[in-house]
Amino acid sequence: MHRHVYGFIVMILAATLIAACGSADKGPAETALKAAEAAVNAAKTEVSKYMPDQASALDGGLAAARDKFNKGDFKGALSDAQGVTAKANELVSAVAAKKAELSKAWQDISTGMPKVVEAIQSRVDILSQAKKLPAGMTAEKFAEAKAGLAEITKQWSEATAASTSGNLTDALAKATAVKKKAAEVLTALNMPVPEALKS
Amino acid sequence: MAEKKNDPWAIPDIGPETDEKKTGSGADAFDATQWHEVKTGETLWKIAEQYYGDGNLYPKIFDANRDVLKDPNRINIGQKLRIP
Repeated sequence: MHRHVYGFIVMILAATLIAACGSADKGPAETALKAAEAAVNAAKTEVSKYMPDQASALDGGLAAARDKFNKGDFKGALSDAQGVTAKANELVSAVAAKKAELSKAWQDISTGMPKVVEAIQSRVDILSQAKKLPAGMTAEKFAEAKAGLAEITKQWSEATAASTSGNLTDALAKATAVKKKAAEVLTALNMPVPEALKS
Repeated sequence: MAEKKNDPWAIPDIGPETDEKKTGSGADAFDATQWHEVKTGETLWKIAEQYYGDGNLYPKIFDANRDVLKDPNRINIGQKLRIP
């Protein structure tokens, strides 16, 4: 009988000890979760914009940490939440680097493209005054080049509008289409295609 | 190298070689200027006919090269002219 009572007491003590240890992690886990939520909220907008695939990883990590916390796995929640915070901070730095890279690319293209458009416009204007087109250029080919110039002008204004609104990714995607079209038009006009339009 | 020199579509290398020129990045890489190296027997009229199909448009080339041409009837062999 005594043995049973002692056994029972030992079991209760052990359970209390385990629970106490778990509860000791609850506070830090809660704090870490709050910090992780704040870090994710601060990073999310920019990360979604510039690294959308990474934004879901942040959400997933935070959800996993919350789940562990709700199930009483405070140690696991603490570790996961700290990991999410570190990842969010890492992504903020990566986004800043990406933004700098995109800004440089846009700066180059926004300085260079108007020169290309100007060269095309000048040649189109001159050829429009010619009584005869140069060897190897048909009236159809010239008409296509003129239509191409109109398309380039339209696409370029869309790209600059995207840049003005702060969407550099979209602006550069549109500018890539402009570069491709400009290379086609330059070739049709027997003009040299600049290096930047070949890539 | 010699092929590039004789290529009428080639852009002459102006100024020192920079990293941007090497990699083809930067605003210089967007330079779409067309150049023509004057050859024996050529006139501005002939050059205009070659590029525009109409020799009467030679003043366009003359105007674009006023920094190196003083007289449309005097061009020199080897001179590099901008073709607007």
